[in-house]
Amino acid sequence: MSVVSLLHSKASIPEELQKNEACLPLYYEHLNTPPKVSVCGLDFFYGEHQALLDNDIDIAPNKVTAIIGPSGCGKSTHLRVYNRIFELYKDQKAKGKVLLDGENIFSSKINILELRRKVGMIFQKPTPFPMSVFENVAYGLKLHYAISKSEISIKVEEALRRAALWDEVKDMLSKPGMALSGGQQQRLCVARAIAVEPEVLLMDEPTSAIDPVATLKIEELIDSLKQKFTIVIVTHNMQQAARISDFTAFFYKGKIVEFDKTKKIFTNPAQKKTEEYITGRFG
Amino acid sequence: MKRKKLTPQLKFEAMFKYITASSATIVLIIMLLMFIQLTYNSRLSIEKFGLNFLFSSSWNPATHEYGALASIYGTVVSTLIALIIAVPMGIIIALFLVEISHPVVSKITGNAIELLAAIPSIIYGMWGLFVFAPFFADYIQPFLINNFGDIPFIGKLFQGAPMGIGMLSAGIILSLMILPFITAVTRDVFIMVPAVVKESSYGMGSTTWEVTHKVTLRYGIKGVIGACFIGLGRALGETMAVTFVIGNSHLISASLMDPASSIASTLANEFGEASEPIYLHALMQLGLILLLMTFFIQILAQIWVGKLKKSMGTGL
Repeated sequence: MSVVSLLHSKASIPEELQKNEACLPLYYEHLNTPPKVSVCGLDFFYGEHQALLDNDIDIAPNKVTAIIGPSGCGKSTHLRVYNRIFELYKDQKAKGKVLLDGENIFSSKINILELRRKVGMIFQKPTPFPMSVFENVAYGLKLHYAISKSEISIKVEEALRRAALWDEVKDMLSKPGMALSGGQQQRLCVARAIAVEPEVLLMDEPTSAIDPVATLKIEELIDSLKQKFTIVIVTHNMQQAARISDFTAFFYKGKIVEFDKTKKIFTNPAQKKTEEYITGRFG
Repeated sequence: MKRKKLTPQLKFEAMFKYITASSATIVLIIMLLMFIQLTYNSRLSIEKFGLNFLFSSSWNPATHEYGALASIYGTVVSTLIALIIAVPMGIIIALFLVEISHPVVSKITGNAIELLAAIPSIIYGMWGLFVFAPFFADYIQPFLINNFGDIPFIGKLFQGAPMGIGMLSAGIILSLMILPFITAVTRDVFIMVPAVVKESSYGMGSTTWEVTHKVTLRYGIKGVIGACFIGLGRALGETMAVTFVIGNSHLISASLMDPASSIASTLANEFGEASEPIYLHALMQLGLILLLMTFFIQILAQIWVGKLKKSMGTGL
């Protein structure tokens, strides 16, 4: 276990929770519910190069967990394991366990399409598909649900409302998704992702390509979304992590140096490296 | 520090602009001259037959009755056959190369396909006449005639004698010739679709098939259509290979087994024997029609792509 000094041994996990296989005892100091996602001993390889070393982390349900760290430290790589999207690339390999509700996502019993419905992803750049605003949101619905046209319309509106986009696009649902502004496009992607009713939302630097006002809207959106979803967000922006997250993990060179409540990380980090990073001495 | 005189640089800049502009203008002028030349050199035929030239299928050098319909029909139908075969195949091959196959396989296959494009059309014609046509006549055509010839409506396409050469053979050879273009351009288009767009589609829980036909193909649709029109342009004007296998008959027949002729094959076959001015002018007018056909098809393609962009906002 790499995360370390602040952690006790596994023995200190309350016995009734041990079977949920949370990786980190730390987790139970803060919450009494089993983790939504629990990562144990995760290694990751790009060909020969090892990008993640023995990552352990527990993601709390209905909370925002931020992943911070300097460029190239493995933040995005770590996130891309949760929905097994890295498997699109033949030279990328992951070892270790990632438990979603206690079930290993690498198990052969897991249906990858269902896993990706449960674990939605938002990318750095907005990625509207080449179709209308409506079709964009309906895309995943049509993939995963056998529902009628009228039900689709209801779900699309619901998702757009939840993504705080409905009022801006309700008169242009048939316009191409790419005709929206950058910030709107990103909220469209959020709407598309939440329309299929996922349980976890992965956000890979969702605001790095959009302007400050749009960023603010996304941050407000994240805050409202956590009531329904578990959110893991990779961010470059430490203020953002401090503003929106409940837990923060600090990554450095593929290792999780420190993982704790956001408040603790930003006010009283246990590790020297963490302190150096959040005070801007490197990175 | 000694300052450089800047006047010569400005002079060169002006000249440079002039050179680029005039190079571009030359293309336009050549286009225009070709059009004028073809029109002028077909004036006898235009005067004599008028619009009737387009709608008459008689082609009789002995009586000097000329009509372009049979050649136009042959050109359009052989091109359609080629597109019907080559477009889906090209897109499927490109998708396989980009999305599914191992990088090594896709490199080797990709190179092989590009080599296909480098084979001169006369080789395709000879191969078509000496290898493909006999094989076609012995095995494929009897099968088509026996199994489809009796079906109402569709059956009309598959009646006649298995001669090997004919409309269908020409269409198939043409499809082989345009396949590499369509595949290569489509592949490049698919490669240019950003990985993150595909990832977000996979991330929604799509299968490879869903990603490719709902997202990748749509994203690159402009380029794919462009690729198809490159193929279409080549098929319309392809001369040597078609001349070898189409059979060169000026009769319009419903059956794809029967010999036919295309504009290009008629021109290739008959220029040598066209001694009378009216014969020559009729051939020139055929050329003019071919030029106009390609011209209007390109314009249609532009309009189509513009409309698609409005409705989907394609990426590339």
